[in-house]
Amino acid sequence: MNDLQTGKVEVTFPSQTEFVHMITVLASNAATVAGFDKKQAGKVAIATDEAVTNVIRHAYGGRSDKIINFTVEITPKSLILKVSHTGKALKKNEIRLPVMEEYIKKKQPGGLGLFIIDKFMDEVDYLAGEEHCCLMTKYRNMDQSGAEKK
Amino acid sequence: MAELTIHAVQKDSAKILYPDGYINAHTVQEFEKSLQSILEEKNFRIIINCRDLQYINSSGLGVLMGVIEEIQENEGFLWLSNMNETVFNIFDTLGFTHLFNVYQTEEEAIGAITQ
Repeated sequence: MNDLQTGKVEVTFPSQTEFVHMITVLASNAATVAGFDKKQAGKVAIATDEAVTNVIRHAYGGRSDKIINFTVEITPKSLILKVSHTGKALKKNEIRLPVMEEYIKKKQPGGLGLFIIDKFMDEVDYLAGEEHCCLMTKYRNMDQSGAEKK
Repeated sequence: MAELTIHAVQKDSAKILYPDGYINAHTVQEFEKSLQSILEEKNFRIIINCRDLQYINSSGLGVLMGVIEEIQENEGFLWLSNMNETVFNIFDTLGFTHLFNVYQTEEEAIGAITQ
């Protein structure tokens, strides 16, 4: 893994689903630059898609005239992705991740996005402030074959 | 390339869907429309060949969850084949491989119909 490559990219885009794929491609490319393999880069891309989609759908309630800031930072130790917005904050203590066995038994659509983010990233935090954000971290120094935390 | 195109072909007793692109919040309506139109034709034996599917997010999985009951009630099936690593990871991580049969190839899936 290339531990020397570091850098930061920041993008601002409208809260429209047209832009989600573009951001996931950026996230995936950043993961590759950080030295993650294709499997892990795919997980980073999906987690990013889910985080951005959550902001558009839930924080902004589907409004397309708002702004989302996306920052991806490669540090010596980790890849940090930050999705910021000024909509409704998601409070970490209110999050109830589905129990998948029950979820599948009841066949209820919806509610999977946060679960996917939690499974595919090493650390996830939801911060409230002037801007609210979803902060996702994947560590570079983990053995990729055992990189999943759960 | 378009964000998502889907074409469907009848093979043996199953309808095979070929999504090309990605399924997320932006394209999920197209995916849902395709599946619904097949169900409206009373086709309940469906295989989704994922060879050209880049990724699917929770919106797309929600659509699959939304139709599986109707399919099972009509003694049909919704199977998937030719998944890339990213698509398989999502299904595997969520435990969806217990709900949807997943095959390496379309031929394997078609072969499983007659078994």
